[in-house]
Amino acid sequence: MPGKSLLRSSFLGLIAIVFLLAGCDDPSTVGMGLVESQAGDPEVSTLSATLSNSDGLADMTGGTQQSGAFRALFGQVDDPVAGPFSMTGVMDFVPGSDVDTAFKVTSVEFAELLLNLDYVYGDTTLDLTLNVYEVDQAWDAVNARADTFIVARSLVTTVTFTPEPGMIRIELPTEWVNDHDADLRSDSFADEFHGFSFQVSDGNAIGGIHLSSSELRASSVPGDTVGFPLSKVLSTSSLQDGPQNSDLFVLRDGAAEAASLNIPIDPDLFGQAAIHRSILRLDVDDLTGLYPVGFNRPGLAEVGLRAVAEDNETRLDVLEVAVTEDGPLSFESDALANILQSANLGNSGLDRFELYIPNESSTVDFVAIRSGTPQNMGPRAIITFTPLNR
Amino acid sequence: MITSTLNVHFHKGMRIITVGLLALVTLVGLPKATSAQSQNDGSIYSRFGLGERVSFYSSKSQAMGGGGYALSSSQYANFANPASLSDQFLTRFAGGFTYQSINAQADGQPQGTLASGTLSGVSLSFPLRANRTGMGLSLTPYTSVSYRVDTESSVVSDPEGGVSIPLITSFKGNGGLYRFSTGIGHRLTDALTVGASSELIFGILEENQQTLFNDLSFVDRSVSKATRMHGLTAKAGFKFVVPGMPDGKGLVIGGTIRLPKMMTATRSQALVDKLDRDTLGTVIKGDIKLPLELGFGVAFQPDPRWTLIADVSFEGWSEFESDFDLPGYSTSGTSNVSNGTRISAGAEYWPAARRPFAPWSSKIAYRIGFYTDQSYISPNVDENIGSIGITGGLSLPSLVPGTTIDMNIDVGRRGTTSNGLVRDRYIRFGLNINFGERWFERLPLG
Repeated sequence: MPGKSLLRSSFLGLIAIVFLLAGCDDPSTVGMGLVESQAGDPEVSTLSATLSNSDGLADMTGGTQQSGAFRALFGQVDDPVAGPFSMTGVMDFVPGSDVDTAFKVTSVEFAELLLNLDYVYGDTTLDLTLNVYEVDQAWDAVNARADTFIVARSLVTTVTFTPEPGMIRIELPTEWVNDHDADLRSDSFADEFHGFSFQVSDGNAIGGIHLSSSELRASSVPGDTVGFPLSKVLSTSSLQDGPQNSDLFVLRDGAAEAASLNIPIDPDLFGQAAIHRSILRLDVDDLTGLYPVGFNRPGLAEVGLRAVAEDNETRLDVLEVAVTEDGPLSFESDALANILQSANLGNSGLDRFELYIPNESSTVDFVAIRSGTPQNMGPRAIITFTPLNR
Repeated sequence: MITSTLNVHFHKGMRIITVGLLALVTLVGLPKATSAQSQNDGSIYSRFGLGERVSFYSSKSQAMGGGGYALSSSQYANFANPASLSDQFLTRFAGGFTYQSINAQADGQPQGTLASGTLSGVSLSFPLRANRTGMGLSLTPYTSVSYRVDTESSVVSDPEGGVSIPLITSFKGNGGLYRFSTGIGHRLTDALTVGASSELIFGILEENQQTLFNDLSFVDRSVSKATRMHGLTAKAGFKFVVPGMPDGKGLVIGGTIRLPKMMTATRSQALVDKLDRDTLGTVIKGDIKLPLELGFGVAFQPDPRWTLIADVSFEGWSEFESDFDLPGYSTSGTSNVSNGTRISAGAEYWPAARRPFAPWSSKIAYRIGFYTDQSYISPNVDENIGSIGITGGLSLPSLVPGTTIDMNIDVGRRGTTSNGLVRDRYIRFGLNINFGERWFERLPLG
């Protein structure tokens, strides 16, 4: 039947043509004049971001051997740029593995603090006078922040030392040793003793005691010395005066204030838009020539940006960027663009952003961010967007 | 006896293959047809109004210019006129694809070529009383929105860096309206046949503007506007066999009227990226009025092998109303909508007419036609958009009695390059399967 093969080949041929060609296309610009945008063309807008101190989330300054901050920071400094700043360092100890039965059966005769000072910020030419207080009540270092209030009323001793990195030895008074003889030898030492608080009464520097290689040492008889390693730290600060220079915003590690940042992206201000890219740019002043000889000011390594919801509780870390000597802080990511996009559509509940110093820092270093408008290199958000409903 | 048994098995096998292919066509085509996402490679003119008007009444009608208001055929269910549904003695299931390639031209711009494949329609029809009363169901496109235009530009995304970033803005439209028709036709007398159908018209028109950056620093997003609508309307038709024609000749006239209908519609806008879809604003509700449609046709058979038809249709789009702005139509009063008309004619030559035992090659039907129309909407109020085209087709009989495979072609052009408009030259290939079999037969007892 000749028609059968013709039918079959024609049919299969046409099927093949339809399926092969259905996906072919060559989209072109033909007809461009007949398509008016339902949205506008992509544009770029530079928005002035507002940076301010707020009573938001203080820096996380508590830490243990396992996590969190790793230094107890104490001291006071009058920074030529950032102004006065002070910190109180709190530290606690736990019995070491060498605290054995032999130690516990004999009275403690001697005790001292052996502290690893590995961080100094400020004037290293002036001595620090340090008051050591005993902490009155139990405290928690995990997730503790710089605005935590710790009660420490009993002055133990006062020492003076030169703020230079190295081991500091602080001999504890005999009276204190006698008062704590039982505690030091007790199995419940951790419950009976809550640590020391370090407050500086004179000097112009802030020091940092590292969690490692720092301990409380005690001797029962000569030659039998045991260690109580530093187990947890906390650094507290109070709200400070602003910087000496109003053109700068000081973002400081260890601060009790939060650094709030607002970008006027909501639809009432900006209009509804499809946001393709967002760059948050903060110019940093290198402060060259503003510090006297002998004033040590270590630099920050990283600054983070997080989003804060309207409930003032929910926070989302967006990204962290490195601080470089000669460039601005430039935050840019899809996550940032998506957060701003949701905020622009009114879907996110975004209240503001906050700048923060990552926990890994554990210093009182700061960056000086230029304030003002985008025209004079103040905080700015550069938004690439397609306007909607035009 | 053995030969007879083999033939039975062979016919059964062919029937299964045919039904299988039809099912494949339906399964593959229907999702494409009803999805608002899959196609955007048609004419830019489909962007305007409710989309490009599309009609598919049967594969026979498609090859003969697209009309058929007076066309009678026992081999096809003709949905152009519900009165024609009376002409059935087989249950029929039909469906098909159309592949379209468009070459678009505009002054001062390089040519563009677009191609797409879509479902022509599917239908089921059956006699209630053979050659007297019949019913039919069909799903066919009513309008089609299918376009894509890309434009390249750049933006200096970081004014402090000064680097220009290239981007593509892609304007797409897809979707369209579909017509689900349920009709019945009844022969009142030997000369007069009447019919009526209800037509559910529904669908989504979607416009999309996507901004694409070839740079990972950017998030590609698109703005999508979707207008959903539905409404039920009615259509009535008649056919009249002109008496007194000489032996062997026949003349039929037919006409239809479809009533205007206010459709319920909603519109929403969304911002879309690869991870998310955010609704913009609230969903807006409104009405869209479809116009009155009139159709009139003549069919003439000078002898049983030849069928000639001529048709004219009118759609009163000047009465069109919409609560929503549409491309080419503004609720504030500016409107490029006008009445639409279509004229077509065609001829069929079927050598095997009244020769059931003619050889296979004689059973092939040859069809040709032409049409011209004026679109109901134009991008430019000073310029009507018209189309003109010729059609043709072959109807290949299969080994299953009553079943044909039809291959059609439509070559035409639409629009003009003047006034900033676009001229489309298009070619369409249609592949349709028309399966017919006796169902609901009363088996002899004993």
